[in-house]
Amino acid sequence: MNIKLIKQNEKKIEEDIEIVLIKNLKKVDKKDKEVLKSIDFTKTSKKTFLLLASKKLYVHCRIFKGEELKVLLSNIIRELKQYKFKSIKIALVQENKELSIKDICEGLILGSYVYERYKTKKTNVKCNIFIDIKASKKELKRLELEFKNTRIITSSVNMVRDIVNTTAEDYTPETMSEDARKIAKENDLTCKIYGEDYLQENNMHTMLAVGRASRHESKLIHLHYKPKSKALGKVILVGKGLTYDSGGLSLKPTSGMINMKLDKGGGSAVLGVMNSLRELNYPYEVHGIIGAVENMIGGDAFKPGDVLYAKNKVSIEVRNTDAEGRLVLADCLCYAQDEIKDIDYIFDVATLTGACITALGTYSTGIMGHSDKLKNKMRKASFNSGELVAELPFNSYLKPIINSKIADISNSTGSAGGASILAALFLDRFIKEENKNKWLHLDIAGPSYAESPWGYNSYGATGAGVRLILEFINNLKK
Amino acid sequence: MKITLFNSKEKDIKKALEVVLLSKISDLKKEEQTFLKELNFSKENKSILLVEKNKYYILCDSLKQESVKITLCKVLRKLKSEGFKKLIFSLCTAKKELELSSLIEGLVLGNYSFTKYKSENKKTKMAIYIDIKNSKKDLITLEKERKETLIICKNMNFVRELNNTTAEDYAPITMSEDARKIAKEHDLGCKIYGEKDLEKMNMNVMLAVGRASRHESQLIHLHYVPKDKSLGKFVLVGKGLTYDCGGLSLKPTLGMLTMKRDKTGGITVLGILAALRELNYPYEVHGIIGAVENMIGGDAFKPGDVLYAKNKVSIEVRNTDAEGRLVLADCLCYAQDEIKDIDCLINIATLTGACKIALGVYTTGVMAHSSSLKNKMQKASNRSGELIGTLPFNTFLEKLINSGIADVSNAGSSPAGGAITAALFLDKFIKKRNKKKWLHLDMAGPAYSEVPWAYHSPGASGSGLRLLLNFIKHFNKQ
Repeated sequence: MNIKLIKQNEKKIEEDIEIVLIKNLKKVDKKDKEVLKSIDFTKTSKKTFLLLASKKLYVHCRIFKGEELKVLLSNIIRELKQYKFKSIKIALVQENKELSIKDICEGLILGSYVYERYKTKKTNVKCNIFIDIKASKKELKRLELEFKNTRIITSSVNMVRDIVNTTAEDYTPETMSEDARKIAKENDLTCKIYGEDYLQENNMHTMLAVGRASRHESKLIHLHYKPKSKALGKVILVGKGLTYDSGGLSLKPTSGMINMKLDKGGGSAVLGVMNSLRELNYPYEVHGIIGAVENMIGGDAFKPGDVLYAKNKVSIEVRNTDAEGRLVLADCLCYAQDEIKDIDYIFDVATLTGACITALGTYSTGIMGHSDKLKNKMRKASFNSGELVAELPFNSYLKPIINSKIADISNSTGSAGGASILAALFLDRFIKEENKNKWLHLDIAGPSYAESPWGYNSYGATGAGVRLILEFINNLKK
Repeated sequence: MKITLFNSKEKDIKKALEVVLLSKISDLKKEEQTFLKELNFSKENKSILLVEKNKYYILCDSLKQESVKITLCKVLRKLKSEGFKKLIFSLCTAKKELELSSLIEGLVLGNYSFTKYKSENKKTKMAIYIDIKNSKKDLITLEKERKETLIICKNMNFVRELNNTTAEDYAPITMSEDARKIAKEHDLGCKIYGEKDLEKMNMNVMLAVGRASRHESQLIHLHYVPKDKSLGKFVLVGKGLTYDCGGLSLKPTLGMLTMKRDKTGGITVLGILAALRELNYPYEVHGIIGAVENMIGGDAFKPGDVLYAKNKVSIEVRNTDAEGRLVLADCLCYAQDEIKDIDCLINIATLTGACKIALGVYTTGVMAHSSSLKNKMQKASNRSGELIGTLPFNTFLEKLINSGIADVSNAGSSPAGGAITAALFLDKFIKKRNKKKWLHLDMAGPAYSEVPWAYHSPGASGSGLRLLLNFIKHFNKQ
């Protein structure tokens, strides 16, 4: 899909169809008004009305902004693609209301995404979309910037969707490091990739143990974005990149294993963020750290009952090899804080617990941390970006539950409930004292992957986390 | 247990053991510090009894609210078991004035144990003296605080006692007898309706749940009117399932074990109504309870049935073990039909296992449309020491309770967000004008625990009572 703005002095575009949003019939051309009246358009549950004679698709719209508009436009573009229109126009000003370019682009671009790598017959038609900004009251420069930024972000979201949708056979820790290298080259980032020798030398035994039974080498990926101007602060993102998670010896049941290519959602989201920063020109230094590992079963697999030592020397009793994400993150969090000083924000993002889905539903990201201020900021970013979040609170009774009888802590716990919170409290043991109030844990187990399409997310990966985190960083300026 | 306030400047209490609460050793006099250090009094060895000084020293994690309560509960249990009957505590200790209410709550709530079914039932009478020397508050204020806290603790232990009583000894009819007794003692309005009345009032959903039981379902309506002018009107609706075997969607053996606790919401409402007159709260409060037993049998309602609630909404029963929301649905309709001009409508229930998975077993889930009410509840949580977590609604989850053949289904199509979808079900029975006045509290976690925690002994905790009394007390102040 190709999107362009039509500016003041540009010559007329010959579009196949124009999308017209209407609340009522007041402003509709006389001829079309009669037709729409005859079908009594406000009373039917159908929202779109295609009038071929006037080349218009009338859309009954109640709210002209935000998530409602995005979801509506994503439904429209899916419908129009079926008709194979090649060129589609939409005016920025509808019924005298000026829409936001961001809403339009996100709805259209995110809504029209389909993943067809493994389909012999591709359905994705190339089409041109023109946004007519002639009637806009905003400055052209501002519109162009908003347009550019939204396209950068949405293309990163779709890149992340592609990555997560790729099967584990085609996407291993090695593939992820190649992608990281490519992103670094294109965006002028520093990129360090470490293999298992490095992990061994640097006492990252916990991460090593998880990947041991796999035939693919584990990779620690470290991307680093430095703004051209002086940096206003330092943000660290740590992503869980389990390219496949069979559960290990604590093997997952058949149905629970099917979608486990999704377990790289956190690491992929970090890649998506890192892929956007240079073009968005954000004035913050950002480190992206990913533990890319495959958790398999085999003769060399780590075992329930093992005790592992993390990079910071904390000992961990493995009670469940399927609670492996937190093991990989533990070492990655240690690495991040050992290597990087004067951190302002440190977030980890991971498809971590099924409990988070039971808690909040499949559409919301669980946020956990010590700082209320930080959680409020994240809520604000949620509101602006359209990604849903909800807080799951810590308390002093849950804290001791992760204690182990034979080691410092255990990676899986009994029946006190609150498994998402317990996972976060586990990670908390790997956050240095000076960073406690700078840390947030994002559990994207629910929203990162959709078994059935919702909103502007089609089947499969959604790219969850990218818009949320970018919005968070962008808001820091204010 | 008798609790007396005294001032050691004026009076000497003889033959009593003095308990010294500390946050650190340096709070003590030099001389005391020296010999305590010799005895290795430290964070690892937190308590020491010095017989010749008649003093018991104990280190507290902090001298704040909950920490004080938990420590005092531990101290009391230990000293009681060692045969001490007369204890002195100081309100001002370590250069700090403690909250009198925290002291009393820790002692009275910690002293509770459920012995109804034990042959050997030894109850030691404890005499507690609280030294108010150096307090900044005057005796009248402190006495008032003492009295108020004791009323609350008394009712909390009353709630625990009823919840711990087995289903064989506590049927819906027992609950209505208790309601009548409370109404008489505290000058409350009281209406009790049996199954014939329910049929007349079209409360067929509530009726269906209790159908297979040999105990008649009871609708209980208590009504407190303050002697002075009322500042607002509260309606509390409690789930009073005196037993829940799950019905035809039978619970597994383990899950059924503690199902006498499923009446907690209703019992909590009883406890609150029993406290209001003595506390003299200036609000009108209605307490409505659906007291029902959910059993299995030839006459049981079935998965697949369609029931019509009092407000004519049709419900597809997909799981007879999601019966609490059915009973609450009719009770919520009754409440809103009978009572006008409601300022705040709260329903309280042990509703979903999903809530435990979401927040852990120590935390009550709070759901509502109004952020301002949720904020008020958070404040009541901070003051009362009862933990809450809010679980947010969203438009995508609403669809999970859609039914193919009725208006709404009583079980979500997926277990995701189970606590939230239960609340969204209840939302269908909240009238438009009350939407922003409604709060749903899911206390499935904290209501009952076979493992003792905080100052709760095994069994019912009495959760909800302090939270709601606190919420009501401060309703107009914020």
